[in-house]
Amino acid sequence: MLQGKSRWKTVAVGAAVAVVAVLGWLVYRHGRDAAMLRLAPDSLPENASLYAFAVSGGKGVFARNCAGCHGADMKGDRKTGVPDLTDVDWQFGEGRVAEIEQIALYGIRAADHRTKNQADMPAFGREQPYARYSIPTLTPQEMDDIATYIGVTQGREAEPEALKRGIALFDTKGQCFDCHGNDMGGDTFIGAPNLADKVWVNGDGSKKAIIDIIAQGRVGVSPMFKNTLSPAQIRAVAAYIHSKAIPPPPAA
Amino acid sequence: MAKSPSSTPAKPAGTPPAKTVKDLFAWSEHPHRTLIIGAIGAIVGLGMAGFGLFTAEGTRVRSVPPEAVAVVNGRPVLISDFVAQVEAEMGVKYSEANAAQRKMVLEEMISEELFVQRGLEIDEPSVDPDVRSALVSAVQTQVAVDAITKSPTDDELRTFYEAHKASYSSMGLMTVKDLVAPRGTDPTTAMNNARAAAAALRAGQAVEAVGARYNMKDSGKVMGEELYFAAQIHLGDALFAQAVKLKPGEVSDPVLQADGPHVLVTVTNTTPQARTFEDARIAVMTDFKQALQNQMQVNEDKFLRVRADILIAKAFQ
Ligand code: HEC
Ligand code: HEC
Repeated sequence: MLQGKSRWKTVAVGAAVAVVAVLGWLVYRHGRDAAMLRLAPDSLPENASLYAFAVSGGKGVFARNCAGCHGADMKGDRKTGVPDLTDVDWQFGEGRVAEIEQIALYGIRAADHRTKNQADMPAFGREQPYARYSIPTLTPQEMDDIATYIGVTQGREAEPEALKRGIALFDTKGQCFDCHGNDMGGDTFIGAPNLADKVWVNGDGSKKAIIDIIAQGRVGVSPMFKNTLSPAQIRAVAAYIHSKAIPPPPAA
Repeated sequence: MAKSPSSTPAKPAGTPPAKTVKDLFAWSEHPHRTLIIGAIGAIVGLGMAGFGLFTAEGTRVRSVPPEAVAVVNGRPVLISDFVAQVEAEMGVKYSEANAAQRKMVLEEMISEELFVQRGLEIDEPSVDPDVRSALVSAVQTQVAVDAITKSPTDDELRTFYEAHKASYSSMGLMTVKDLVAPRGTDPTTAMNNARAAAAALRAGQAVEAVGARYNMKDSGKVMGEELYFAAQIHLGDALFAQAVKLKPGEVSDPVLQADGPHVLVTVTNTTPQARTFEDARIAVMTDFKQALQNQMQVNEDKFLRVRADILIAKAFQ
């Protein structure tokens, strides 16, 4: 009888201690979350301990919500047009925590007025290439010529006449320059990738792959998480991605 | 908690007084066991309730949550959005924006929130056609978001591809020369010329020579190699229907159109070829999502109707 009671005592005290510990931990977490959230997002990496706290919290958030598309290794998938998040090459912005956080919150081409949704890659082989405004269709020969021009940046030989036509089309009828820039350097505000480097979001940079993109267009979507993740989870996952990416070279 | 006997009230007779801390924890015998456990329970409960109260969404009344710069009638303006807005409007990094710039943007964001809230208050959506259509498309997009963001598996895509195989073919291409009698030519003469031209072309004579000899000129409708759909638009349905049937080198019979008789010579004609799954992957993915999206919108409409109370007057049923 007495033995039963003393066991009961141990259980009661143990439970009370556990509850207090959990509560304490929650309060502590909440305090850290709050401290992490109060910072302007780009100030987070400057605060080593809060940054480490955020990064460790972000790992699981990424695994549960982002890895399905971006891959557990964050390397993306060129077959489905998911960009590598670990390289220096950003389609949108330059990889600051503030920028990643906005994408985590509102996505890319998702249903929110703050989503990234300024432009798409038109489908030049379709009757109406672009939903946003009128752009002329390109003939197969024209697409081939433009792909020849882009191929030069990939180290491929080009027949001079085709190259000349390709350059002209890039700068005029195709309106490629308008989004990708005259130098093919891309536009990180609208998410138009650099076409002159060897980093490809979609396909492998072969001529065939490039023609396919020009003909079929491309409208990549990253979902919004504002309604499904807490502000702290969003901040944490942004910090986690930031921590995995190669930092940009210091401005010259 | 009571640590010495003096601070505990009188005990019922027969209970030995607790003398030491150890005695106090002779739990089963402790006279205030119920009270103490009750107190612990109450404190823990209050703690949990308090924690819940101060951390739950939507319960903050008079304080600004850590993720917000401001709260407007209970709606937070997120720091993240504020920073993004400052950068977008001022064209500088947030850390480089000065206090006046930040203040200005914050005031603007508060104003916008107020106007949006006011708009809902005066039921703007039921008044303004732009707001109405924006709302409709917003709901449609919202419904479709699951479809857009779903990453279909390879199997799903393959099944979709198999079901719609016919639409995954390479692009049909043609190069065609289209000769027409000049405007104003007497219709009978024109038709005779066209027949003679067709015969000469079939006999292998050059297009330019035949055109000159039988007074027919290039219609200028098509230029070089074109995708089928482009050629169809340029030629018109009737001429395209003839052209698409011709093999390279073949010549059509004269086709009478409003602008006179046409003769078509097909130079190249690449009919669409079925594409393999791997080859058509991007297109399959796009179409798969589009189909799913349409389906979800239809389902949403059904769901709303089931839920709704709709009465239609007899005369209009
Ligand atoms: C349904 C698949 C999917 C999921 C889930 C997803 N993403 Fe994405 N994400 C994409 C695609 C596709 C793109 C490229 C969009 C484009 O092509 O413009 C992208 C792009 C991004 C970019 C921009 C990369 C750059 O180079 O600029 C960021 C940042 C990002 N996602 C973050 C996230 C985060 C954080 C999560 C999880 C909270 C997430 N994504 C979940 C598909 C996804
Ligand atoms: C209206 C803006 C716009 C125009 C015009 C435009 N593009 Fe794009 N392009 C984009 C965007 C945005 C993307 C990224 C799409 C995505 O990943 O979701 C893109 C992607 C691409 C890609 C894939 C790059 C990669 O890394 O995966 C290629 C190749 C490309 N464009 C070529 C062209 C060519 C060639 C033209 C002209 C014929 C052109 N684009 C015109 C906006 C544009």
